[in-house]
Amino acid sequence: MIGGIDMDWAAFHVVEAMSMSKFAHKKIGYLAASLSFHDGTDVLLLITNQLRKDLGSNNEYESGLALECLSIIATPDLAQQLTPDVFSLLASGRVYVRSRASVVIFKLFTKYPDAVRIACKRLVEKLEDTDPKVLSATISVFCEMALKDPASCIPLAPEFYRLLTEPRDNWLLIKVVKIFGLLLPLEPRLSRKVAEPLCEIMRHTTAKSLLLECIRAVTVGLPDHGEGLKLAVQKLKELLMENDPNLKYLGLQALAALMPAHSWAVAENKSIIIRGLNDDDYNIQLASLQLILGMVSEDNLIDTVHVLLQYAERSEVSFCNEVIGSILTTCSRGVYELVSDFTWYTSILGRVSRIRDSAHGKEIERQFVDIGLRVKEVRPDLLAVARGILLDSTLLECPPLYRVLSAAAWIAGEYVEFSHNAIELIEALLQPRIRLLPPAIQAVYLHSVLKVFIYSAYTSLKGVYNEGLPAEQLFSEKDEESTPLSQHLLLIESEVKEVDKAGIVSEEQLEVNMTDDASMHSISIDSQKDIMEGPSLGSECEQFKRLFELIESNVGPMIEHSDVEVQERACNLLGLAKALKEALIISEGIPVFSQSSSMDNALEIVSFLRSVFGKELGPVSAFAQSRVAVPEGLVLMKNLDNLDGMFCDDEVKEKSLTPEFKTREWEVGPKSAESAPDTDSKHGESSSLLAQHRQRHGTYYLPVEKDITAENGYPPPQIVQQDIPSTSSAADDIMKLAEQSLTWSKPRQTKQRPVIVRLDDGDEDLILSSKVKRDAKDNLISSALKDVLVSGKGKPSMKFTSKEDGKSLFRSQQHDHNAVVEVNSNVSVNSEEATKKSGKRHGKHRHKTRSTSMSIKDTAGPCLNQSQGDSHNSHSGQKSRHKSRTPTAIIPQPDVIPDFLS
Amino acid sequence: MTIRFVLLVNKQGQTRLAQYYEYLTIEERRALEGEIVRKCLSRSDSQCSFIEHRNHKVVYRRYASLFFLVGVDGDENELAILEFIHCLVETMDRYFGNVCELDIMFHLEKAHFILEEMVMNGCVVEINKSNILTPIQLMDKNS
Repeated sequence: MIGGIDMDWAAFHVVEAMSMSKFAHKKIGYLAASLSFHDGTDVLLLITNQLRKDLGSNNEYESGLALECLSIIATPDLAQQLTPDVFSLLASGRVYVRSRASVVIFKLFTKYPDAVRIACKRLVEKLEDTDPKVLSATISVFCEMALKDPASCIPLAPEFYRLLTEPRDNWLLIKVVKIFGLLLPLEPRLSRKVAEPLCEIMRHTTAKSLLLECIRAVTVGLPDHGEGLKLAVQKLKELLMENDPNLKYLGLQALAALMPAHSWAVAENKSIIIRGLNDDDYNIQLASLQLILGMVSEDNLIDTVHVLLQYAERSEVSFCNEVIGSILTTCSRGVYELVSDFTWYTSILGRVSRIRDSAHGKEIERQFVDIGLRVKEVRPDLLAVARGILLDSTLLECPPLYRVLSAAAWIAGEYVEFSHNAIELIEALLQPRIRLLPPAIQAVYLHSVLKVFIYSAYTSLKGVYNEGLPAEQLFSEKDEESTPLSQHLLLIESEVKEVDKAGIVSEEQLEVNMTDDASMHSISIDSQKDIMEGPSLGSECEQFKRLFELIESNVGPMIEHSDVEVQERACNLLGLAKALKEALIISEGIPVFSQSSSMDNALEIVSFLRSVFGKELGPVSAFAQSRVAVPEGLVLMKNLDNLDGMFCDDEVKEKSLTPEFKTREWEVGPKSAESAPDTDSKHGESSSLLAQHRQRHGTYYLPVEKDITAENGYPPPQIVQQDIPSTSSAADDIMKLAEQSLTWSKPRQTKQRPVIVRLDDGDEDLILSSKVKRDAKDNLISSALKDVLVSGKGKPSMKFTSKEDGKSLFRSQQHDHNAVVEVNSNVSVNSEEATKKSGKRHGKHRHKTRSTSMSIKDTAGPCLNQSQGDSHNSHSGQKSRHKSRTPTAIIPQPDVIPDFLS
Repeated sequence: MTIRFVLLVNKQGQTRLAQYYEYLTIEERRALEGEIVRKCLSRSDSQCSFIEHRNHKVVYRRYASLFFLVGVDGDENELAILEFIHCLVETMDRYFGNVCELDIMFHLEKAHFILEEMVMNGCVVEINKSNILTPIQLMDKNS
């Protein structure tokens, strides 16, 4: 494809152009091929011979063309067929071809791992090539291999070391240093040897790229080498001081790599890092932020967060969100292990929730509720923060913060006993603008109003009672009356239960035992503390009147709300308010305290409801669900895909029946459960339709005897299909079920921190260790490489010894590459052969030099090359001697670094 | 594979040259180019020349109206790649004589040839300017 246009249609013309004799045409053809061919191109089959011909061409540029093309379009087949040709080019006398062939051979390795066995040894020889270009290309290849599997390259460490210590150009050194960076963690013994040259390079090099590479290698490879580290950190500091954003960014990244093991290095550069927060560059800001948060400890958390928040509030939205997100995750890490002052942390949460455009409403909501559940001591502060949030009516205009508001409302309802002014809370919760909120959150608000209302009614009534009657009398009276009344209240209880279940945040455990008078006692005694001092009848009455008015005027309109949930809760609330009003106040507003029986009734209702909400909530273990036995006969694993069809024909009816029904959000499973009776009563029609529907699709329903439970807890059929795809609602269901088996360990006291409730197993990290899996092909390459380098390095394989012109042999073998492998593995560990090999080596090198001089004649190159050829010749003797020495050190103990290093 | 792709993009975000060293379908390339180029163009000179995009690291450099973008492996040395980009630009400069966007548009194959001489299978194989240009000039002479 060229310029983003598919040119597969021209594939055949490309092949034609490739086979043209004129070089310029051929070159265009090859360019087109390398740009447009891919594994799926069918004409690839046609070009094998063309490639082979050009690879073997006398013109080095033609070979270069073919190599270039092959490096991009190689397929496993092409690789298998052309490996021998490329292999022979590795020995070519021309630098141009040799350097490119060594790069291409790596591509062939990846496509056809068996090529490693054939060509790897010669590639290793290329590490001793006299030409820097060939060396550079070969090192690049080994660098790639080391990236894939460092262990397999360890036997070559002596060669790399030699390259590291000889003066070379920076490109080569970068690669060598990178290889050592990969090898050092695997082979600690290398560090003794390598540390000095690395330090030397760091001291003297002027190239920043090389310096950076050395710093990286030292970071991962020499974590215990004091001098090297010190030098690296010092150089890093110099990089950070430069005004170049590139160097600053890379320096910060290098610091981040140093951070886990050497936090002192980060601490030294603290001022630079903090300045990085103000940088123009988002990347640098982020890097600084990560570093700062990485350095956070219990002692400096408060300061750090304050500094960060100041930056956040001043910076632009995306970075601000980034900062807040990382503050939230850092502070909540390990169940708030860093936070020791929760009053402070709740105030931070409150501050963070005022930031408009926040993308973390959900997380803030979670943490608010979580802290409320886990940390008892902080609840009064939490309530104060929540009150602030609720009173700030401007927040009602920020959709991103709706989740925070819902958390605040929940806290207000749940921990209302810590408030000094419940009326104010109700006013805040019922301000007219809450209609701007989504229905789900309005529902939370209404539920909280119910809780606060009951609390305030209870305390006031208690106050009145205490004035009039002695406490013992009150309780004895109640004891007598409670039994008949409890029957009546059962109804209310079930209502309340439904309301509770549906709340998004409310994870209430409603195990309220109606007849448990003892609990009632304890609660009433508890709450005596909260009762306001000396309430006068008149002010109580006024307060009630105001409350009722407030509720009637604001909750009243919600009775006709389009969302079932809100509607239901509004009805409940209003009903309760009316009942209490009748019991307490006659129409002119004169309290009916004289009629103690109605007064008692009111108190009974209120204190019962109070006891319902008085139960403390706790966090639920993530594994709680697994402790619940699946009821017999309940099929959970059944595939419900085929319900789709059923859903379609329902939809038509829904549309014609209830237009508003469609617009509702069925967010949570149990919430929708409540709609079943509701819809049934509202639309008589729909119940008959439901019956029809059941008849038609009876298989999907539970048996009739379970209908009772189905009506109580399971969503009606229309909702079933909508619930299935959303996993979140499923998770919610699990949470609800899990409440039944809620267990958590006793609070643990740590230091002076408040107790944070932890679950026995629920807070264990669920993060799976992310293990990088190498694909099968890489494994093949590295295993082949290991075979060749570790066991076979010094030993000549048959191919190398027997073939001067390996090409023809490979031709005969190529159709059965297994044969090649077999030959390879059958090589005997024979020392005689090893000696034989060195002789052959000489021959090979001589051959090589001959061809070099030939190529010089061909291209009429400068005579400089001639002398190079000579030196090459004289080198070869030494080289093979050196070569035969190193392998002998390796063979007896394959996994040990040659004595050369020790 | 150290270098995954080389892109030349103008200030308007139009791709003038694209060379990939790993296979991506046309749709993938289009999406990748679109996202990366948008990110690069929005950055100012005072910001660093590296962006991270999904699993790619992109090193870019701006020359007049042309952006040179090189996508590399995570382990690659960014500064070395910046050197490489500079070398590429200098080579093009020498060949075209003060290279501009039009040169690359109308001699796309020449630009590809230069790149081909420098990079092979994602590895930088040649950085000597005269060595890079020798085969191309030889070809020009003969045709």
